[in-house]
Amino acid sequence: MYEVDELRDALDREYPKSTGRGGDWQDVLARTPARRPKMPRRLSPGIALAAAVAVVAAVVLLWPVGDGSTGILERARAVATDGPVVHLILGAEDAHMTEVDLNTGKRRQLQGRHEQWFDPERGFHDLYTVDGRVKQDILYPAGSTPETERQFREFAAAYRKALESGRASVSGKGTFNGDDVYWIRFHVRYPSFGIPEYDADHEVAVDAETFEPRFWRAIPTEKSLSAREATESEIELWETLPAGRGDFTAEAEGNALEEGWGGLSRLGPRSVEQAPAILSRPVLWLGPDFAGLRIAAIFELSAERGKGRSVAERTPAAELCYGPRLNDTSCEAPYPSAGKRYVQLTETDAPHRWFGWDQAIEPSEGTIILNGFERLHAQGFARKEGTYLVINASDEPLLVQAAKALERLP
Amino acid sequence: MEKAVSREALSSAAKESALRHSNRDVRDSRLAEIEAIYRLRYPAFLRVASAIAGKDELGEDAVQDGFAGAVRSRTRFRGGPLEPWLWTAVVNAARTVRRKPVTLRRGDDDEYSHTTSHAPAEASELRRAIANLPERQRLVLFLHYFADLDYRTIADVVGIRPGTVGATLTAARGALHRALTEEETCTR
Repeated sequence: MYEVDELRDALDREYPKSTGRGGDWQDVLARTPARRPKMPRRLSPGIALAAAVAVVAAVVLLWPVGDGSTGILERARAVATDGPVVHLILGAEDAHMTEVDLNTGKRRQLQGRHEQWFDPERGFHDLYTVDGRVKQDILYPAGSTPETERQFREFAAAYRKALESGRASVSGKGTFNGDDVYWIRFHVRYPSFGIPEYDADHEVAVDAETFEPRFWRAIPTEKSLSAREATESEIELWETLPAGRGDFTAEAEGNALEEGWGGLSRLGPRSVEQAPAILSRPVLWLGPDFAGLRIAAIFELSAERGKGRSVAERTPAAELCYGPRLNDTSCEAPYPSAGKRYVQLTETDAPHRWFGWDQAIEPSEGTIILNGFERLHAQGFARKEGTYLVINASDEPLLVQAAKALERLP
Repeated sequence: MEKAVSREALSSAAKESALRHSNRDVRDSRLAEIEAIYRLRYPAFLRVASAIAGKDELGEDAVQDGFAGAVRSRTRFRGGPLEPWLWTAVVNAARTVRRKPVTLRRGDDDEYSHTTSHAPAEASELRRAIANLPERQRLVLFLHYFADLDYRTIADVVGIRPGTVGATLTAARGALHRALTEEETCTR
């Protein structure tokens, strides 16, 4: 076996380091517009007509003999419909959660990933993980998915249907991650049967060699009422499977209604002396004063589930308000007034979904996970010595400062 | 009794707002980040790209093309560390300028197809041995030794699990050792 250092030395001799060279950033920028990917864009009618004529002429002149769009669509269809079951992995996406190390301040953005299985007979299974932890694992049995959800989720079904029905067309050739791709376009419209109409142009980039889908995007038209924003995703894996294969077991069934009732009871204010008894351990607090904010109130809450008149499950919670409080039963959040500084701690003995927790939120001790979806205030999830906290604050620095200052109420 | 649904509805509205957030500010701040990484790490990018492409001039072109591609598609970047994404762009560009017919597939645990050696006859034994490595081993070797990337980043760039990076490196070292030992034996 090559000794590690020996190999490094040999490589350094053979491939010398190019120190002292700084590159040419202006040249990078200069190359940017010239090689824009060939993606269809919306043009004004006049320009569109001229462009269409030019494109048709170019396609007629340049299209390889015997390998026209029919051949491309046929090969794409063969790949997409090779088996009844489709297994997809979509590219990593921002999970809108950031982990902050409270000691070092180091931040890490968490990544989400969808893995999906589609079978016309069994339905659609969507497994969404964040950092490898399951955030959502839902099976929508065949025929049960509402149209509004299908338009986003059942991409595989729409793509295959378009190829099989002959409604798809080749809209151009381009590159994706350095590889040649063909763009296949089809139109998706879900009519309005009691739901807002969805109308969008979908485009799939298929690898020019394997004809496997590599990238998908949906651009809603002006007619679309249920979705207005473009969505896109890299397709990391597309495979077709024989009947009966694939994973169609999930933690939950989509659109299933939960039995019984649930809600949050506010049991009223508690004094500092009463507060230690709310949870199984004394609550965590920031002292009587924190960052110029005085403790305004401590509330006892109870998250409850039940059926009929009986309560089946009760989860105690404590809410501590620093700064102004909304009224006699609530802190400032979740509807804060602009300009007010505040910190709110909501504590439980275990993570509870009514306070915003889910399985994918699993902060280590000494870290806080910031919720990137929250826009009205800063929100973070933390765990300290067996107590689970949701911290809301008027701004993020104050939130992180509070997470660092937590201590047990004596 | 206050319904917890109200909080979820609030979160949904915030989600929509966040999705609309991909505006010019975000693009421009990302452009500045890309430029900073380019300026800071250019020698490493150049060394890896040249090694993959086989020639320094091709390597220079690949770095420029890779970064130009990243600048163009920066709005598609979905967050997380930026550097692995830029390495992927440059590595793909280097592979393209070398005119490899093989498609690099992410998340595939099998070895990439063995590509034919492009090492010229006069190349050193080490270069020829490296050129004969499977493409994945070659990429991992270059990214580890020339760019000093950690296993997690290499895994992201090449599209394999972090645990596979160490094994791939070991396999590459073993293959090089065997190739160079055989060469030595043959020439004696």
